[in-house]
Amino acid sequence: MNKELSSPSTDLTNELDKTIATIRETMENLTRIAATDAVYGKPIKSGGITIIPTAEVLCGMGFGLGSGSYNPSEEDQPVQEQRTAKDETSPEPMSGSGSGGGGGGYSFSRPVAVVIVSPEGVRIEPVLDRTKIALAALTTAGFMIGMMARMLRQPRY
Amino acid sequence: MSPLLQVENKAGTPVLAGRTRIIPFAQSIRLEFPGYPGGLVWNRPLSILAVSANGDEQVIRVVDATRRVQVALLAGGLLGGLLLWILDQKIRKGISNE
Repeated sequence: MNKELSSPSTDLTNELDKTIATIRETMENLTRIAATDAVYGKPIKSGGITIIPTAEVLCGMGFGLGSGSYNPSEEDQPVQEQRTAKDETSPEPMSGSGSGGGGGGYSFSRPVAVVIVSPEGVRIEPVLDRTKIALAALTTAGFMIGMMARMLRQPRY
Repeated sequence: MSPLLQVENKAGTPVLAGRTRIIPFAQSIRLEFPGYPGGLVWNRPLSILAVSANGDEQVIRVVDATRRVQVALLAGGLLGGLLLWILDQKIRKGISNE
């Protein structure tokens, strides 16, 4: 049996290409399919009034891959000889390769507004996230107080 | 190679609510760094087109009130900080001139 062996770097390149293609495809799907279907919810009908919830959807993903290999060269010959002399059970020169990869993703959704369709007409009611507003207000207040305190601390002359 | 930033507006499936037909529109913002596998996709509602039974069309924008308040607070904070700094510099200049 004469099976042709591919090098680890070729395998890695193929794997990376496949991964990039998968990520790109996922992102294409996210923009193509999820855009309107994820943003606008299913209409809820109740007593002549139809409510359509809306939300914003944020999705991020990333992937990384790395590899390394060691092949003995002429420069490393003394090291090889030393090793061979010490360890007779493994006379083969040291060589090897390794690779690793990792990826991650994040998805976030937040209600934005509600579309209300009634016999009187169509209107959009915004959804206020009080927690986010309170956090933003506290951050702003903290920044202002910090800046004032820093200015007061500095000597005036 | 795909561009760094892509912005697309898309129309969704029309919804029939009573005698009104609602066509939703969404915006998709895609951020991709060339050479790096991965990216960011941000989908948000843009507006709706309401078509009544007698053919009247009405476009209503979907306003993100929370984001507007957040941006206003951030802008107010930065502006307030800048004004405080200018005021402080003027006071210091006045003291050193005396």
